[in-house]
Amino acid sequence: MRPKTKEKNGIDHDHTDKKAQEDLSRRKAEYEAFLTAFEKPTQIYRFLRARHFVSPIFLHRTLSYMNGRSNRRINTRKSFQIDSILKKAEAAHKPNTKQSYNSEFLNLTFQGFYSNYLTSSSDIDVEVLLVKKGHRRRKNSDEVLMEVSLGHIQVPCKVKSGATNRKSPVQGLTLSISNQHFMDGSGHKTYTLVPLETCSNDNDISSSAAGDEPASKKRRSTRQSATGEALVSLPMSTNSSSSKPQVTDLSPSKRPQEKLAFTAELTVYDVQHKCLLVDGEYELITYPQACVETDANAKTQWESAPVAEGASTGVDPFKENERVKFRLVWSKAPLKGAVECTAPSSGEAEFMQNNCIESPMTATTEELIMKADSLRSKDTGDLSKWRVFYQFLFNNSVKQQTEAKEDMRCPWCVMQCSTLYSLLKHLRLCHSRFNFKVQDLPRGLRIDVSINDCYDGSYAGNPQDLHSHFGFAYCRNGPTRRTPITYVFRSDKPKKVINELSEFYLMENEAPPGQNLVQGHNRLYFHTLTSQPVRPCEIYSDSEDEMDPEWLRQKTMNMIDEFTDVNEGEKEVMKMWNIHTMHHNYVGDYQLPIACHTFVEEYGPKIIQKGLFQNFVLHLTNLYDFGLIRPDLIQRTIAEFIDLQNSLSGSPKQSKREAQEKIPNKYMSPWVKYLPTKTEETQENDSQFDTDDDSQICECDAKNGESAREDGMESQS
Amino acid sequence: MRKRNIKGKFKRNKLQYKCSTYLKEDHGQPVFGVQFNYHTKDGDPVLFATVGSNRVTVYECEESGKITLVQAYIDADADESFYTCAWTYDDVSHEPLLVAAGARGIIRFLSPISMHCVKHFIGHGQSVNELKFHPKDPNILMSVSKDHALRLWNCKTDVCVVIFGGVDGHRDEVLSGDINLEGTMIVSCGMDHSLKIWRIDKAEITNAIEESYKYTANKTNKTFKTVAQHYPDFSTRDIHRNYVDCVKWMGKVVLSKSCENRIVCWKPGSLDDLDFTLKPTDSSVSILHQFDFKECDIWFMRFSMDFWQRILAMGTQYGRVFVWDIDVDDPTLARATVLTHSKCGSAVRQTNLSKNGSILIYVCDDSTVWRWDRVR
Repeated sequence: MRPKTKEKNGIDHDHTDKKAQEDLSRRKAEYEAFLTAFEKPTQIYRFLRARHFVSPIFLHRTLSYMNGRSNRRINTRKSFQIDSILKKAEAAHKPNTKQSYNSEFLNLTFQGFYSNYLTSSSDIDVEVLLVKKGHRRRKNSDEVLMEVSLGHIQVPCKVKSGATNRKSPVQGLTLSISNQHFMDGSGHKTYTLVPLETCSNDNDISSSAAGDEPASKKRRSTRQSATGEALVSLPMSTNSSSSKPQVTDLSPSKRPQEKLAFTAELTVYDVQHKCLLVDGEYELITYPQACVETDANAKTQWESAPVAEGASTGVDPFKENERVKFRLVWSKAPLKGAVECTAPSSGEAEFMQNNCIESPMTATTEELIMKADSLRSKDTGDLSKWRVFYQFLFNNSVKQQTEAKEDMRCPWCVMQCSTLYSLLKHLRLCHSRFNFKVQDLPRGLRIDVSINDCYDGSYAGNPQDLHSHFGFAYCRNGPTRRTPITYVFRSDKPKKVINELSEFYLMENEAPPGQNLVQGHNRLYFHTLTSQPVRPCEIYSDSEDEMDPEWLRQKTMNMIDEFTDVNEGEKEVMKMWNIHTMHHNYVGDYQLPIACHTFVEEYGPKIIQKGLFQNFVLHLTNLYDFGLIRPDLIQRTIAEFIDLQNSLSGSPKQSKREAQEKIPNKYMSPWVKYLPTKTEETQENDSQFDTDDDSQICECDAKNGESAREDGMESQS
Repeated sequence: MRKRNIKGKFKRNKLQYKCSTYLKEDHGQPVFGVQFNYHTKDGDPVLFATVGSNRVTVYECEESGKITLVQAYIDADADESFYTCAWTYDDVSHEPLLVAAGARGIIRFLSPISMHCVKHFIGHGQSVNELKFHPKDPNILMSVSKDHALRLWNCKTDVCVVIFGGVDGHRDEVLSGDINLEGTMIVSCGMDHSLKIWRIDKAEITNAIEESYKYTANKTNKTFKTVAQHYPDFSTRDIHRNYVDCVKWMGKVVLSKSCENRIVCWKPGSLDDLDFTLKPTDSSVSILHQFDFKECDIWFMRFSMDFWQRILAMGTQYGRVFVWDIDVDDPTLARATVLTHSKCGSAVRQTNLSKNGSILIYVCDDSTVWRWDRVR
């Protein structure tokens, strides 16, 4: 990063040696201090860079000032229409046609067939087959294998002695294969060239040759490719039956029994439709043709392949085996004199071929960036050609000057910023432990780097992150619940940010204030009882909404206990009634009928158990006395109560009417004089009742209470 | 000396201290609290901590009578003012822990071993006036706050277990509190002139403490259900007529003081009632004894006792310290020794005695720390 370093240690030689030495030592010490001062932030940024590499907190390409790193184009947004999604998706399903290939034609110029075993050196008929192997997405589905014959060529055979009967004539031995062969239809396919050499020689071939693996000099990574396409070729050689030369059933008429067939494989395109072949001389090891069994039921499976066998024994497979040699050239047009094999006349393919645009999708991001960089640098007056110096200042004196390379990489995190503006912005924002200031130089720029003494490393984010996500934030074990946070966005008219270098000519704090937007508001919620922060997982469980907290119930009971003018039984009923109305939040007189009903349901057993029936009846009459309930409600409630009593004691259930009739006269008699004669009169007209009265407070006349208590005692006995 | 014995007017007090050394902390603010670490064995260094301003300082008492600075912590917030501190230990590693709290209401846990703030509890609405640990359980911390409430915390699982306060709780700042040795009762006092006793051996609270040990915040989405105690089991306003700023259990009786120049020794109920059948409705008290002293009518002045509760020490407004030997059969026989030093003239905020009572440390408003050694 810092290729040129020149220390400014201009020692003045005019002075005495001693003084010079002192000066030197002082400068040395100063330089040491400079190094230690710069070491710490540099180490920190190195660590941060490593951490960013492993688990990035943000992505540089999403930053607004890092246009160069963003590979999505906003220009298309303007013209975007919803209907275009379908077209895009359709187009995406024809991946083959979109690829840009090296050229239109693949030319194979065969130079000869080398064999150790064939004695005669006559011409050999080479048939080039193209095996298209379709890959299904799902593993269990069968693979589709398709073979197309591309053409025949007569190739001179060269025996081991090296004597050839022809002087390698090139003309007429070339086979041009159109690109269109490699594009058809949809789906993932592997295209493999299979030169099939057949010779009429009936010389025997040692079976040892059959077991050898096909290895190749120039085959590029077909075996290593992650897809299974290389596997197809393996069974051919590992099959022991392949020692007997066999004939494929593709062209049975051409091959009599005694004919030998040799074959090899060369993958042109792999599953990702990546071209694996480049121009050059190729030498393929061929092996006797086994019967190409395309067993429909055979599933792809891993087989152990003794790949390194040849290498381990130290035998060069190229000397042992038959091999075919050819030159491979991609060209725009078929070579002269080449045997041209016609392309499958597919209208669509032709159309696609004509309209094929070089898509940037295949290019890697880095290439793209470079491309974009070069484009932009043209616009900005070829800035990248400028020389950029980093000048390190310490104690207001220059300690070191370093020239950067031409690429706009950040010296601390080796991040390609692609433009000078991005670089400077990045330096200021991501490396704020330093101060950066730009100075113009002829044909260049100088960036003054000094230690930022005012660096504030304190936390300026949301307090929620500190409190609630402690140990959870950015959890690597998977997504965790985070607090819903409201972010405030300001929707001003978007100000056009002009990326100008001029802002870097000032010191950072002198620079005009940027858009210091506060991201979100710092809102943190607290529990009402403990006033501790609410964790994000607790935010929806609100436990503090109950009407009758324990303390309020307790307080009610304590206050009733403090009454001196009511007896214990009454206090019990009052407590029950008050807690009951508090729990259900009965607030109006009109709710009293339902309150009485639910009270009997909920507290009936307790009243029976404590023998407080009399007190309860007294309470009801009090309610009547204060004009809160109608008399028929008393009767109904008592009937319900007796019903409950019976059901608890196990006696058969009675109708309300019967229960009403069963009310002992003794209890009925005192109120008979108060009750209106017509109890059927049950029309609810709440307005006639006095609503000002607080129904929750039950006040009892001491005298009444006393008598009720006596009655209660009687009923118990 | 012999004369005195003969006279009988001043019985010779065996309890004598002599001033060994003093030092001054450089912040210039009052030092409010001092605490010896009682969780030590014989032969361990005698450590104590002082709190004042935004500092927490740990000192060691050397045999020679010197005080050496061991560690000092400064809170990041300059506005923090620590009022109190307490020592505990980790029940697994047995490492000591120092807890301090003050004006900001944040309870900070400092580890003298790893020398940093291990954790902190937030939740108190206002400043924390006193911290005490449960005598039997080193993980249970009681904090007493200006927000009218006391809290029990579980330091193991970092949850607030119980909040004492509310309807019938304190009506003003709680200034002091103490848990009895059996760990069954808490006594608290405050600016509302009242003293309240809260039972913590109720099923509700013991269950809550038990639950708090099982609670792990990381594994559950539920909040720990903090128990709210609104009703003290005993409450009285009959002892003092002013702010009650220090209270301590001494066995079954309570020692408490207000700014009335006396420490009152009292117990709830009648003298015959030894079973502590506390009734919220019955606020009768019986006063056993009063330790009178002079020149102490400002509040936030704390007395202390040694670990075995044999010596009682109380500072005054003008730098004098009263020391009583209370290891006597009858409290009326307890005699006071007054410790004075010419250079010590400001209010003594808190005194503290080492485990065996041989060293007395007290801290003053002029940020001085004084060491007195017992004369045998």
